[in-house]
Amino acid sequence: MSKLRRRNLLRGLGVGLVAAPFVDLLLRPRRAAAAGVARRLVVFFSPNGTVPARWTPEGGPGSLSFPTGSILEPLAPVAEHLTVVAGLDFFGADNHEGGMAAMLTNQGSLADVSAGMSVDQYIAKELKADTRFTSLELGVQTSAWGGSTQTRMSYAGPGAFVTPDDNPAQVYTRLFGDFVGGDAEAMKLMARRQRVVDLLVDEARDLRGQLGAEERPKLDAHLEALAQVEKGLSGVVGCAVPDAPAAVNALDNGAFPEVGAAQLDLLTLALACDMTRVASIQFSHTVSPTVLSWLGQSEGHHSLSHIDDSNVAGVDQFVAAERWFAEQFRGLIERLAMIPEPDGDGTLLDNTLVVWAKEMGDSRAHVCTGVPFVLAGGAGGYLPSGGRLLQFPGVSHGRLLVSICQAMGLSNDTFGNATYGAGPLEGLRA
Amino acid sequence: MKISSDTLPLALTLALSALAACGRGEGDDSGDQGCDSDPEFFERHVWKPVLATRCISCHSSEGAAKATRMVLSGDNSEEALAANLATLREVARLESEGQPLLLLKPTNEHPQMHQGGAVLTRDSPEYVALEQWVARATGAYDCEGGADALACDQSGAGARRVRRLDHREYQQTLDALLRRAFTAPVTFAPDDVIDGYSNNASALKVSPLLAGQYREAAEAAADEIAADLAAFLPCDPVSVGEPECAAAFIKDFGRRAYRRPLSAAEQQRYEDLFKEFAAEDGFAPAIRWVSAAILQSPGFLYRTELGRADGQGHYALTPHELAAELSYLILGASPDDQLSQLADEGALSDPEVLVAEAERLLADPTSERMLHRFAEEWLKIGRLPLVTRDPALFPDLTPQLRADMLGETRKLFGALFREGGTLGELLTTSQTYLTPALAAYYGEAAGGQPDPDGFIKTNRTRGAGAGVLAHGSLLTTHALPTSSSPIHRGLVVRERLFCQHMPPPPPAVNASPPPVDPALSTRDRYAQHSSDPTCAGCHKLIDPIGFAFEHFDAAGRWRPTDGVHTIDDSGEVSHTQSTNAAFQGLAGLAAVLGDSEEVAACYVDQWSRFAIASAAPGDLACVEEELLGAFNAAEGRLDSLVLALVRSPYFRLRTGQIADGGLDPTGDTTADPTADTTGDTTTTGDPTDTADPTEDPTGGADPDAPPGIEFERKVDSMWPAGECDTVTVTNTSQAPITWYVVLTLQGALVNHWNAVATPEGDRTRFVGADYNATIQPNNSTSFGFCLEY
Repeated sequence: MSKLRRRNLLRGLGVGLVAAPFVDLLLRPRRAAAAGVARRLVVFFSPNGTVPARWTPEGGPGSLSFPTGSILEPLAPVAEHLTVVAGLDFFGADNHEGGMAAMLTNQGSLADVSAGMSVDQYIAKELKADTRFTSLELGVQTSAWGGSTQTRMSYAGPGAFVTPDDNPAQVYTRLFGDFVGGDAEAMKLMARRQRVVDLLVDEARDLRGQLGAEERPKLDAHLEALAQVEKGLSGVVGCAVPDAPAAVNALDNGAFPEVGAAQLDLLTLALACDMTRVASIQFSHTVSPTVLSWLGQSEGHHSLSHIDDSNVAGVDQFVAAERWFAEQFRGLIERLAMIPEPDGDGTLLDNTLVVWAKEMGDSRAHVCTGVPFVLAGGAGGYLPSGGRLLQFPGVSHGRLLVSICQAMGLSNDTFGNATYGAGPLEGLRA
Repeated sequence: MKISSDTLPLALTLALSALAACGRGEGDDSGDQGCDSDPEFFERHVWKPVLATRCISCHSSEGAAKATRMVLSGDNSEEALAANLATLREVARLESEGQPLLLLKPTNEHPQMHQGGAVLTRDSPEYVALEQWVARATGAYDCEGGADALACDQSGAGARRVRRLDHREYQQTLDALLRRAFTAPVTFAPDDVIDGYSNNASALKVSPLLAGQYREAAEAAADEIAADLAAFLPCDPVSVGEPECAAAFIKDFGRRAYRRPLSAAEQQRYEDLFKEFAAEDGFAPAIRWVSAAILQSPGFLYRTELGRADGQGHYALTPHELAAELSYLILGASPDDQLSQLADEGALSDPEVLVAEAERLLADPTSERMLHRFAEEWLKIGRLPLVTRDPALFPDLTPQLRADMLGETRKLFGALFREGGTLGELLTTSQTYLTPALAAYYGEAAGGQPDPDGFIKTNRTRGAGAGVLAHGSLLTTHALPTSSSPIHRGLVVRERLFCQHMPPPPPAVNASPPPVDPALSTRDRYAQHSSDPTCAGCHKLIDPIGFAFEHFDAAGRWRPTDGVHTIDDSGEVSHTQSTNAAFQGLAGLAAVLGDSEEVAACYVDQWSRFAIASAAPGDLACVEEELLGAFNAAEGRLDSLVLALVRSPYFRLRTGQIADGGLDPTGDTTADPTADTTGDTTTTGDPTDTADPTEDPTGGADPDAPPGIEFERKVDSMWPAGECDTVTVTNTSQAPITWYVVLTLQGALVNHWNAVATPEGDRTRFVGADYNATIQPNNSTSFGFCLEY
């Protein structure tokens, strides 16, 4: 195991992260990615559909610009890194819950390639990356209503939600907690914990042996969880240990922006330190009651999302909310663009595929047609630079999920329900 | 409040009839639905309780589903009923990938979704009624065995299972173990919520995220033990020797953490861990690690309801399992010393002792915690602290006031429960409990000395006669950031008091909320909004109930007017089986609800879901007859349900699949009751069982089935890209066996039938479908599948 490093390079996250000198962060060489293959995938979610007329940018296969006041206009400074994908439909899905369930799964089941997993989980599993975490799911106030189809987007299998961690302080501990303290101390601590996990595995197997078939999946899941814990204990931290994020009440509506910024920092750090290759950040959830009070708003995001065009002031409020989410997405892109790859091969952004996903198209009609997606990053050369708008009217978004798989170096030709269409989106790849 | 089987909601009629078929129903004339004629069955079990209340709002010639194959007539004429029957017979024959559409759509399991969302759950009697209707329509129904469709075991036994502690149980369990209020350094990942309840056993699993969090919490708890070691050691390590004292600690602390004595193998495991760590770190650090291991072990995190074979085809829960079941049901925490001792002595197998212990625990003041928790999840008011209200409009709604509102509801529940109060009183009483601040907020005069919790018993004058319906907790949670919401309030009545699931607004319908228009009252805004016939189908069920609450603003405060508008809080309850009525005001609505048999039956259903926390088909049906009967006999007394459940066979008996590596169904029933089955059987694995699915994914593992099951796999057809196989499964034993077969498949499973398939590592586990899950002695069944290479 490599020597652990602890240098407080990153004093204070947030602004501190962006300004931090990310030098000498990584201690081990990474496998060189094949040409045209992304090293990492990041999924970014914000809820409650969109107003298509205020979202759609201008441009085409080689150009991209944003009307003044439009939802994506805040992305103008990073336009060169974007591929805006318009027009895709979620086949066979509608409404808030249907959209949330279909967004990353394309209605998969045990009988198809996905085995019912969401695309992020599928890719994480197939990559078999030698990282501490197979994937990381971060959230911003996703869980006040508990876990349900409304509040979850990642699936480990049919109906099996993957729960995001909404608390930045806890995410920090999970990422770096094992490495605080002296090197020898940390190594010993991990060895102790691994020994405890061994005992827990024996205990879990014993209990599993007493169960009927219907209950065994619970202990199978537990054993898998212990295997993941063990994996986390056997890794090394590939970079300096940063300072912990500032304390914040992660459940407080007013703290939403701070929590979001801290989670984006941590997500970026996890990628920079090569702790995982697949990460997601979920801002709230469909039917989100979040009030963007820091913008002076007083109605919930869900209510705003359903306001029809006759209420101009109301739609403007929703657009303002959506522009705020666009700013957060831009912030993620900027973070990734600031960090050089350790092997000198460009920036993290160059080798990452970033996907901004939403669960519906026009929220006023509760439909999952014309669902907006924005892709960002070079994806290791899979996506060209320069900025572009691509239109795929009436095409299944399952084909975008196929493109995402292929951008990550996988070869599957369908994802989820195969009858909805096969092959990647035409013209997406550079 | 008298509940007769004639007017029962379907859920309960079906439960009753199924149980009658189990031989336990008495004098119940609804118990013969198994042999009803199709029109009788349709009207009684499909039309009235399902279609006419849950479907017709959209599935009518004017509704959102008017373009589907299921368009119903809401006329109460015989002709309309006959036409609806004919329609449903056709619909029942439609399939999607071999599954009946009529079952896939209302559960929202259809690959192309149900635009109305999920309106039924698989464990509901309504679902079973539709299942039987499909069987009738497709000619697959045999009236003799038909009523067995509800999977309540004949003895009333529930499914064998394990229950992971939910997060509150974990907290309360750890507090008791550490004998102090423990604060974990981590907030656990929220669990999935099923039917509004966060304790459903099927949802409580350990994810990688949670496993890491359990580790953090366990290590922090272990730090507290290490810091106060003398208090936790049953011995002096200096005088008795360190290894001996460690062994005594493991035995003692393990007993309390596992809620049963450790098995020899378990004891040894922890002693080995101690020895290894003590050799390097010394005694106290090694005890700390042992404690941390115990506190994240499956034995601590799960309580078992597996039982021991009783020689009559069932499993009787062990005394230790019963002690835990009872204690968690009533206190939400592990058994105390007295209960543990009774378990050790085997005395809990005596039902009278069990009931006496239940009564003792109910008298414990901490038993109110479970009551509060149920109230919060039932009425969905637990989220009150987090709902956002515009601070400019509602500056007085402070966090403390929200806490006082929740306190009001808790107090009323607790008081009624202790005083023998009824559901009717909960919904109609004027009596309440207010802090001085909350009384001032409501505009009530509450004189007198507050109780130790800070509440004064008083009567509401605003919201009089409306019980919990007038509580700020309910009114505020079910409203919008700037305004009241007749929709949210109507929904909570429909869903939580009538147990009806309302579909979401259909797609392609303009769901724009009515803009705030000072020229219109809230009621008029919503009336206008719902004038569209597509919306009206559903909203006429919801809004006219919600209007009853209009004298209360979005923060639960009584208001004489809605802005400048006078308030019309009259309304109507419609689309119910026996509760349809017009009413005036919230007290009027409360009177209708408080007197409703449907609301009473729904309450029993809600409490049952919370109390047994099971998603296993049939488990609810197993308890509801007992519980409704007791509730009815007690005239709706809130305190009647716990003891009824404790007295039920469900509480003591389990049925289900036999563990191939664990319990022997003909096993040792004369075992010493103080020895715990879960400890005794852990080492008797069948060799296939010790294969670690996470360790040997390619495995080459052999096919696998329980003892007594033999199977033969035959390739029916094969082509370059795939094959289709049939597997014949035979029970060669002398007892019925619930079978499974685990196979290594040489390709992707594209289709299968007569079985349910689940991946298990790189292998695939097949278990029977509902109709062939159990094979009688010397009988066979078969299932099939197709693979793509």
